[in-house]
Amino acid sequence: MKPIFVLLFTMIFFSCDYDMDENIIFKDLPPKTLDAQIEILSVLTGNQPMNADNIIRSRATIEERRITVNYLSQVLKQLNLEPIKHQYKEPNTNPLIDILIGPYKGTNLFTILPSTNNSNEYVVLGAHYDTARNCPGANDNASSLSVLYGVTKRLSNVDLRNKNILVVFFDQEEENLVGSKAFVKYLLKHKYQVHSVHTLDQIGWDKDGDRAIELELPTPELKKLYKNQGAKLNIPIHTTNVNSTDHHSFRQKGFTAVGITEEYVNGDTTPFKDSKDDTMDTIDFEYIDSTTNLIFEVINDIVKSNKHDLGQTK
Amino acid sequence: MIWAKQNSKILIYQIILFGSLLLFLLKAIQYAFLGSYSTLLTSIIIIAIFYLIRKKKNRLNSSIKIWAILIIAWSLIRIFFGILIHFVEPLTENHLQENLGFLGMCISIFFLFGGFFLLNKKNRNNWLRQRV
Repeated sequence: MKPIFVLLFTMIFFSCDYDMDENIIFKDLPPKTLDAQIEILSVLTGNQPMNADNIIRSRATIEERRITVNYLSQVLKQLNLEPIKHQYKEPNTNPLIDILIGPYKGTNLFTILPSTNNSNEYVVLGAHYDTARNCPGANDNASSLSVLYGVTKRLSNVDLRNKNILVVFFDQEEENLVGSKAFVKYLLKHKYQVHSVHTLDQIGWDKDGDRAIELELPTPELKKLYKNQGAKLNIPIHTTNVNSTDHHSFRQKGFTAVGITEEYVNGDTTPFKDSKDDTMDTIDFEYIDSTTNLIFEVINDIVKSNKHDLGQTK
Repeated sequence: MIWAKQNSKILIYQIILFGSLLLFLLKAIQYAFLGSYSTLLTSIIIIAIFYLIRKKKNRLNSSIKIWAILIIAWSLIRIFFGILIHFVEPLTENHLQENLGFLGMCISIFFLFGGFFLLNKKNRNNWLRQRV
């Protein structure tokens, strides 16, 4: 029996997960929102060091993703928001693969910008932070992370918010949307009342300079909101039926969700997706700025309103 | 001296056999907690078979042989994919890389040797002689 106990103890010891804080170099972000967005994108794509020892060239391995989460936590703290880590394990898509390899492991990072009147309703804004291997991921998806930073910063300065805003950075979108699926389970388990979910993916390419965005599978109400604000800001809004990114995880479980992206279907989209050439110099920061304005106006419109009528609400 | 060496080999055989079953069960329990029960069902069936035939030497012999072959197959598949994702660009999924990288490869090789050790007729007969 003794060897079996030794074996069991060894296995339990090695199966423990350790969460050590990385030594993050973090200087204050510039006060101007666009400058801060450029700096965040620069750090996330390896143009500036994120970690004391290394420049992170991609956000693919467990180690790179853990360092990224710690960096993004610091970014949220700069906005006086509390970063919350949602760690998860998920089974593989096929039980046969379960026998061969371990489960998916990852961390979603989120924060809550509280409403100004104690509402229990949430508007979810999300974007994934992971990349394909050996890919700097400037467009996919550091561009969306910097847009989310800008939107969150501006929303935190708004005097009236009738709804809470939950900002979430998903892990493992590149692997069957595992991170957002785990986060949906988290929301359902903790009985969050979600008004609507807005996820961003690839929002840094605008070769034709028209500042247009595509809305993926919006409800008629969400489409109207975006179209109204788009008309005010002179931003063309197209709608598509693409469901291959994080908003799909929410819609599957009955949430009101929409995806926001550059003109992916119309063809004005980065040719460098998932490659080592998805670098910062391919990003159009005027486009980042205009999309930040649009999403801020839409979300501000939603949180100012007392309405709860956006279709199916969880 | 020879007796001590044989005894330690029997002990190693026992550790590898029970260890492999225990690891499979632990993996199954981990997946059951995540809502995937098929691995648990498979492991319960395998452990039940071993339990029911524990005193029938011939059947136990065949079952260990099959179990050893399964471990070898498991290791070889992992090693194959581990090598494949290293060289083939489109198969570079992070999750596979995390599981079948350097550490994963070490685990696969360890189990491959374990499987061959269990499959070895001389080792198996020595253990069965002492056990049943």
